[in-house]
Amino acid sequence: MKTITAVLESEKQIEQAVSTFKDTFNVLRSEISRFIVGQEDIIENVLTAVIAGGHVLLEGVPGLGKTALVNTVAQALNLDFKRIQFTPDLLPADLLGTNILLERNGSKEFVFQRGPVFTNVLLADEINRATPKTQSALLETMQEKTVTVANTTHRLDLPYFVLATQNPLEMDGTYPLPEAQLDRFFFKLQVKMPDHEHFADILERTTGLHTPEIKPVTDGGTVLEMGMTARQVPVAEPVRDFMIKLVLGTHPERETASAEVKQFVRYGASPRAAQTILLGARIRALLDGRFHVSREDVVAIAVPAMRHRLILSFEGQTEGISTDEIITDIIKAAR
Amino acid sequence: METINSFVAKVQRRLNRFVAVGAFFTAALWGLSGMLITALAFVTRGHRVVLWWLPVSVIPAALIWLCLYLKRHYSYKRAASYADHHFGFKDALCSQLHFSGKTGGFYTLGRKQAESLCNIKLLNLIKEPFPRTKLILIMLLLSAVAALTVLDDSKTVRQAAENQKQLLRKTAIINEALKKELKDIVTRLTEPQQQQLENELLLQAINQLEKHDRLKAALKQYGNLENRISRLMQSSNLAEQERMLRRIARELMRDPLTRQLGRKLNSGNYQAAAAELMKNRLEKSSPDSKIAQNKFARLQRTTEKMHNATESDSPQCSIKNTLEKLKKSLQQAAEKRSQCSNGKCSQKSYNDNIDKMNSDLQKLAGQLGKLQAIKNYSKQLEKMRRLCSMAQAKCRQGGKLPTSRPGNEAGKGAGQKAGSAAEGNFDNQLASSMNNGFLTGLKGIINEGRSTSSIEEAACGGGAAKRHSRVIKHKFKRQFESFIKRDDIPPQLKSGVKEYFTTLHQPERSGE
Repeated sequence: MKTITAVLESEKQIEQAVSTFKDTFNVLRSEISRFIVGQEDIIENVLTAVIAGGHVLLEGVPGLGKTALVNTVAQALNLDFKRIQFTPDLLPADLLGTNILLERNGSKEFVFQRGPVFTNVLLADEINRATPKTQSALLETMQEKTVTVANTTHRLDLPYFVLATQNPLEMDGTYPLPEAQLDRFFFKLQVKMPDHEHFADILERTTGLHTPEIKPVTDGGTVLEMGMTARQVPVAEPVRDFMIKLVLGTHPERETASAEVKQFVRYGASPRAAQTILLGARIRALLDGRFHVSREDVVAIAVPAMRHRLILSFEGQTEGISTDEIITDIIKAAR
Repeated sequence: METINSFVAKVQRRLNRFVAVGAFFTAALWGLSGMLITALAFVTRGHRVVLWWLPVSVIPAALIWLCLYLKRHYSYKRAASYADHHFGFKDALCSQLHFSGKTGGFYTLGRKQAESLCNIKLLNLIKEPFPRTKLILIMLLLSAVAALTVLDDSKTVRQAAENQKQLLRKTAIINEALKKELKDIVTRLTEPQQQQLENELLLQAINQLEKHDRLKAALKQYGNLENRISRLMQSSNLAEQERMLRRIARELMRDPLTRQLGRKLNSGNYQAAAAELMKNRLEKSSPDSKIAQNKFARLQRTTEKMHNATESDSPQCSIKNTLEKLKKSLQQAAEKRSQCSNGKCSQKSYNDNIDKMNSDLQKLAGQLGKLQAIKNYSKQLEKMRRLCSMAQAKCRQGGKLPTSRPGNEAGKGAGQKAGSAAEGNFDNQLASSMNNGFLTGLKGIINEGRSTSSIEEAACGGGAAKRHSRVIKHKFKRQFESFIKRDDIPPQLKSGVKEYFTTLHQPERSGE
C-alpha cells in the first residue's frame, strides 16, 4: 500500500496528483464498465463515494447487477471484499464478531473473533431485511470505522466501505432503514433498468463462454490518496453559499423554503448532506480537470447526496412525490 | 489575475452597454406612450396638440431609463458570473475573483487555468438580441404621435375659444357699464343717502369685477354682486314700510280734512307728504285761539287716523313708534290745553308740550323724508341689480355678442329684440332696458296683485311642455299674457309687452 501524502504544496505535486487522480479514476471506471454495462452514472457515483470514503446505498429491483457492481468494484480496487446477506434472524454479532472462550497454553481466555465487517469492502445485501438492531450494528463501523465489543474497540482496516443494497418492491418482512442509518450513506443510488442497447451488451457478455475478468487496477492506498487530493480542492464562497442554500432549502421550517418543501417535506437534509455534496463536488471538479469547484459539480452531486436524507411528510408520501423532484425544484429555484 | 480582471471588465462594459441600449428602447417606448396619451388627451377633447407638452414625457422616460439601467446594470461580480455561465467556464472567473490574493497550490493552478480561458475573441459572443419588436412599436407610436400633432382644433373648440374671447370682451364692457352706473348713482345721491347705500362696499365689489373668459366664473361674479345688492335692498325693509304707508294713505283719503296728505302718501311722494304733514305744525300761541284749535284738531285727527292704520304693523316699525309718541304728545297737549282753559296750567307748560309735539311731528316728517331717500336709492339699487341680471343674461347669449340689425329697432316701451343689441353700447341698452315693459311689469306690489294661480288660466299653451326650455317659455308667456290682461296696467305698457314678445318670437317662427 502506498504512503498517503498529506498536503500537496507545489504546483508540480498537485498537477501530478490530479493527473494520477484522473487516470486512476478513468482506469477504474473503464475496468468496471467492462463488466457492468449501462450503469456509467452509478459506477461514477460509486467510485466518487469510495474515493470520498463514503458508503453507498444501492436501490433497485433484483437482477440489475447491484451485487455484481459491488463485487466488481472490490475486485478492481484490489481490496478485501465480504458479502453479508441480511436476513431477519441476522444478529449484530454475526456482523461484528464476538468474543469466544479459547484455551491457550492451559489457560482459558476470551478471544475476539472478527466478524465479516472486518474487511475493506462490505456488501450488505438486502440490508433492509435485517432487524433495526442488526442494521444499527453497522452504524459505528460506518461512521467511526471501528467495532466495539465487550468494551474493546477494534479499528477497521482502511479503506472501509459499506455498499448496501435494498429492494424497493418487496416490502413484506422488511425493516426500513432508520434515518440515522440512512444519513450515514454518502449516496443513495437508484439502479435503473438498462436500455435496449445496453441490454443486448449485457446478454452478450454474461451468457457466452468467456465472461470478462476484472483485473485489479489500483489499491486501497491510492484510493485514500485520491481522497486526500480531492479534499484540497478549493471552493469559492459563492459556490459554497449556493450549496448551503440548497441544503437549507430542504428544511420546511425555514422561511425561505419553497411552498412545495413546506407542504411535502417533514425533515430536511442534515449538515452531513452538505459535507457529502462538497466532497463529491471536489472529486467531480478534479475529474473535470479543474482546480476549483463549480456550481455544476454541486448540482450533479446534490440529488444522490440528498435524496435519502429528506423525509417526506404524510402528504408528500400520499401524493407520490419523490425526493428527487423536490431537490430538482430546489436547485432550479436556487440557480 | 490581470488577464482575468481585464476580461471581466470588458465583459462588464459590454454588458452594461447592452443594458443601456435595452433600457433606452424600453424608456423610449414608455416615453412615446406618454406622448401618445398626452396627444390623445388633447385630440379627444378636440384641441390641437400643444407641441411643448410632448417633450414633458421625456422626463419620466429619462427616469425610467435611469431606473432600468441601475436595476439591470452588471456589477463586476455579476459580470464575472455572467461570463462563467455564458462561456461555460464553470465558475472559473467567479472563483478566481473570490480567491484573489491567495497564491500557491491549487489557487495558482486555478488562476492559470482561468486565465487560459479568458480569450478576448469570446467577447464577441456576447450579443444583445436586436429589439425588433420594441423598434416596431416605437415606430408605430412615433407615427401615431406625429399624425395626431398634425390635427387642428375641432370646430367646437374653435367656437369655444371664440366664445371665450367674446365673453372676455363682453365682461369688460359689462364691468365698465356697471362701474359707470354706480358712479352715476353715487353722484346723484345725497350725502346721507350715500351713507345708507354703503356705497364703499359696493364700489369695492364693483372695482373687483374682473374680465372672464369662462362663462361660469362670469355668471358667478355677477350673481354674487346681484346677491349683495339684493341683501342690501332687503335690509332697508322698504316694502313693508311702503305697504304700511299705503294703508295710512287709504285711511287718510277717506276724510276730506286729511285727503291731501293721503293722496301724497298714496302716490309714493313721501317728501311731499312730509311737507304736507309739517303744515300741521302748531305755533306757540294761546290755546284758546281759533286757528290753534283748528290746527290742533286737524293734527289730532290726522295722527289718530294714521295710528289706527298702523295697528296691525310690527311694533318695531319706526314710523309706528313715532306715531304712538305723537299721539301721546297730542293727548298730553289736549289735557294741558283744557287745564290752561281752566287756569290750572301755565302758558309755558302748554308751550313746552307744543314743542314736544312739534318735535315728534318733525321726527315723523323726517322719517318720511328718509323713506323717500331710501326709496330713491332703492330704485337705483334695483336698477343695478337688474343690470347684474341682464349682464348674466348677456353672458349666456351663446357666446356671440349681439350684432346690430337694421330695421329691427325695439318698439316704444318694449325691450330690445333678443340678439339685436350692438356691441359697445351695452350700458345704453341696459339703460333703455330699464324702462321697457318687461321690467315695469315686474314691479308689482307683493300680495296686492292677482294671485299666481290666475296665471295658469291664461289661454296660451294649454298642454304641458316636456322640454325644460319650453316649460320656461310657456311659463313666461302665460305670466305676461296675464299681466297684459290686468286692468291696472296702462294700455301703452300692454302694447309694449306685446311688441316685445312679438319681436322675440319672430326668429323662432322663421326658423320653424
